[in-house]
Amino acid sequence: MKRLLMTLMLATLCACAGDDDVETGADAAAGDGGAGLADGSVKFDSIPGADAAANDAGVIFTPDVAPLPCQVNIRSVTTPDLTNLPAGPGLFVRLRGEVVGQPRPLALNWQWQVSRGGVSIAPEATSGDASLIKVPLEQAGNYAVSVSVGDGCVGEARLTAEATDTLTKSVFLRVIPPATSNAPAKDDAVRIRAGTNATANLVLTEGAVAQITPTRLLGGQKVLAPSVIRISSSTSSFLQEGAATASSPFKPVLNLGGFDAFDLLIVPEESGLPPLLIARQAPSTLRNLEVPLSPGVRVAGKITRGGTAIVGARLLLRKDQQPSTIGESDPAGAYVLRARPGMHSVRLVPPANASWPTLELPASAGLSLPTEGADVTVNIDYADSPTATLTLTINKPDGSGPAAFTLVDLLSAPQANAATMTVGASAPVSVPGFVTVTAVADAAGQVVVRDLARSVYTVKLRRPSAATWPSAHQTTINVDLRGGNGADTVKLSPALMVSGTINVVGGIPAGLRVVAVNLEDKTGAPEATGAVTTQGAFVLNVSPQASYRLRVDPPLGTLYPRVVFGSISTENTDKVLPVFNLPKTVRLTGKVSNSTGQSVPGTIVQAYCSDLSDDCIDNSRTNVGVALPLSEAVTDSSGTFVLVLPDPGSI
Amino acid sequence: MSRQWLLSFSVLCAANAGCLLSEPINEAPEVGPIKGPDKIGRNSSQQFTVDADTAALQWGWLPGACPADLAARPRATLGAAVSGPAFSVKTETPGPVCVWVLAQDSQGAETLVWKDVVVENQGPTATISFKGLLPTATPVFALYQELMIAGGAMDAEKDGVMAFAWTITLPDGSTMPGTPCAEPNDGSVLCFSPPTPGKYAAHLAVTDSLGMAGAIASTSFEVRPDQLPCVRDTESGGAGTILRRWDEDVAFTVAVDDDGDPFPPREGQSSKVDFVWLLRKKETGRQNQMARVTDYNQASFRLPAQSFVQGDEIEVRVEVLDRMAVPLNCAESEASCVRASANAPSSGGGQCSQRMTWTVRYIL
Repeated sequence: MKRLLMTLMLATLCACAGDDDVETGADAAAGDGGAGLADGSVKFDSIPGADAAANDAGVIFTPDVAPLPCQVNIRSVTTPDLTNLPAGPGLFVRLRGEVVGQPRPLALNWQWQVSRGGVSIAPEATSGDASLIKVPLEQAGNYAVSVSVGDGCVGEARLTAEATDTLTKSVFLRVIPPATSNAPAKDDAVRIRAGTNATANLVLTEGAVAQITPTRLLGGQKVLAPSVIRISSSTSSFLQEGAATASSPFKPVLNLGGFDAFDLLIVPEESGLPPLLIARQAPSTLRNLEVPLSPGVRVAGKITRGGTAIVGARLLLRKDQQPSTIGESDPAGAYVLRARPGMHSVRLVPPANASWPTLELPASAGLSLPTEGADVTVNIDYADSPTATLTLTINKPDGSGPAAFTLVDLLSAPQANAATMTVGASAPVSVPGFVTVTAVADAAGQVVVRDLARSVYTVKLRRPSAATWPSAHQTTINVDLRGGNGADTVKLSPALMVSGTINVVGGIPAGLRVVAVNLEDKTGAPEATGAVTTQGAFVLNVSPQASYRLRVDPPLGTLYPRVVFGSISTENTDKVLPVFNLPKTVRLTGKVSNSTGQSVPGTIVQAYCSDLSDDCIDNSRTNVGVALPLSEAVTDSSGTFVLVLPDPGSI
Repeated sequence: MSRQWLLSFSVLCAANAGCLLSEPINEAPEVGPIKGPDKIGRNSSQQFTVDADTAALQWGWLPGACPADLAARPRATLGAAVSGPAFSVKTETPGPVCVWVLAQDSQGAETLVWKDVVVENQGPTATISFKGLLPTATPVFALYQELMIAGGAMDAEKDGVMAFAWTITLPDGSTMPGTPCAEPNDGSVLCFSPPTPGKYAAHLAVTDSLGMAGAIASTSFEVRPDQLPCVRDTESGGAGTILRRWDEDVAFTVAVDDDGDPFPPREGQSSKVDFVWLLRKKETGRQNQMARVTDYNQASFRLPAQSFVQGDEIEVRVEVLDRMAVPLNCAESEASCVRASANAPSSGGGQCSQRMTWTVRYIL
């Protein structure tokens, strides 16, 4: 419901854009060009590192260190290290390989080998991702793991597993000190045992002030280039984001004494300078890193439909994680953008309120940009195919009247020839696309969407959050417009009731809630929430034929952790779940101190489960995603914190 | 010279009949009043002594007041006796008791003296201390802070304490009964969340198994005026600009430094901080208003992926209100609403912000 409300509001925000008021990206680029930067006439030969940027296709920029050779790092999904893993019947560890360095094989062919005492053990593939395996740890001992992705790019790791007669779980901790502590936020981990309260003394590493100075040439002089800078690391769940201005470099506080490399994405404020990704930068080099920014490759052209100019279309190129600037078409259909050399994916979104396709080309079939300073012309012409109008009249589930203001999301089947792209004088190539449209029904429950490509559409009807009638959160229908206009009258699906009972030792705390998150909704926003009564009963109003993750959210400040208790799938009838016993809890008590042993009050400590599930943090990727902490606390004046966690023995 | 020696040579003379030498007369021992308290406590051992001209003293006591005919009663009815120069009485039963001492000389003469004593029950003396606060620390607390005040008792009779009765004096001088914490369930710990700033006092009376209360313990403490909450960004380190892909979620998570409503909350304490999230799409040539995200007041907020398209710029704002809900009183154009607050992250007071604004640029 919350998401619906917000989406409605966002739709309203987006709807207020007026074409007449839009200052196009092309115009902005032209302005910069007038300053002598957009025409590619400025040479960067005198700036150290500029050649490296130009010669390396713009992706890997390592001005101070040689590029790493290609290798595969092996990390555990659930634990921060590969020692003292619990062994026993049914126990396992998930490992993920991460390819780093250059040059990489064009196609990664993952070949894993695992052995213990010379005896080969077959790892299990998981979730169709060959970089991820599940290694059974039936017995204690040393396990050797090796992996190859081809072309000599390999990795090795050694696991040690110990027999355990008690269940343990690794808990991922995020430790966020106050700004006054001069210590960067850090990830940590503890292992908790069933039925045993745990302790953890967390020591913050003194941070060092890094200095990142993006520069550019202006009239032959080197000047600071105002930029937004994002610093990330594959071994940290934290991003450092900030800005370098025309008078000051970006000076984040980082742990520069470690070994974990940083990735820097530098996005200049000037549209005449494309973003630059500096991958796997050694920490020590960030103490004082100057990054000369070159103008890259100028890409310009026209966006048209059947030859007629389109205004407000936005074109973005991307090489891996490195984007171009965005080129927005002006009233003449003209755009300009800047990108780094190399192979890029292409993505063009139509103007707001247009029902035309979004175009996407993967990098493998995308745009190859030549060396620095080049000019490339790219024209994109939408296919001027016949279109169709869709008219839907949406009623309440019981047919008692219109379902006013229902949100309507349309997604077309892929269209192979949605447009053509012409690069320079070469022959046009087809560009695939798909149509996405979001609309809102009127007070009569009617929605009319014009100018749609003739295709098959999946239509999701979402109940407006302010609706007073009962219905499912979402109703999905299919519409075939291949033959032309379509009109239909549909009813929203009735909501299904999923009910259940929760047992809590000591009684149900007031304010306990059960939350259902639709697995299709990657935002993690709850679709349904049910209050738990004093008898432990709850009811969720969910959609038919959908899958949900369920979790129990405790009220703020109570000594209960958040508990994830599995997934359910609905059909077309109400469902009664088995009784769920809220697990017992164990306490994790600890103290946060700095490197000199002084306690750090006001530090936030968040505990997450550590696993592949969306509700947990994958230790090998350390991306929080949509996961929510099981428990969080702030340290008191003595630096002490207490977290209440689910007992691994009773989950 | 002993009194007995003098008697043995005494001569009885009459004025008109001459003198008659008499036999020595053995008088009863001379015994002073019993020395000791008139009132004694239950279960407390109190000593009694007496000045006597003989060392042969036998002591005992009887329940109830001393009867008038005690001296005439058969000695066997006086109950058990103990010998010695002093005597201790200890009994659980409150009320009058009769302490007696029987002095005997070598000739068998006896003197019985007695003393009425009242055995009193003394209620336990209450004690108070603040949990989590050093005894030397000044008891100054935050508004709404959930205080735990531990009660104890010193009972002269070493009796089992039966009940703790708490009373709180509020800043306006009125009193209210205090509510004990659920744990421990003997009522010895008071849980109290002060609802207004000012000077408070907590009072504890402890009663023993006989229902008697001793000295009441009182302690005063002060509750600071409410301080404005301070928001801090826990994800991006306070960056004003956030770069994202159009198909990436943007997660905002904030914490609140506050005296009464910190978030995350202190262990076991409720936090009634309120988060107000607002959004605005930035567009060239158009000034859109910040629009509140309705029905949402959590510390974490996500901009769902694909809500916007590449090139869009969105402003996201959060404002925090503690339960006092003092309006921010800042212009919408202010990205942060900086005010003086003792809740500033430095803990030493200073400036802090009740509002935080980010610009999300979907340009990656």
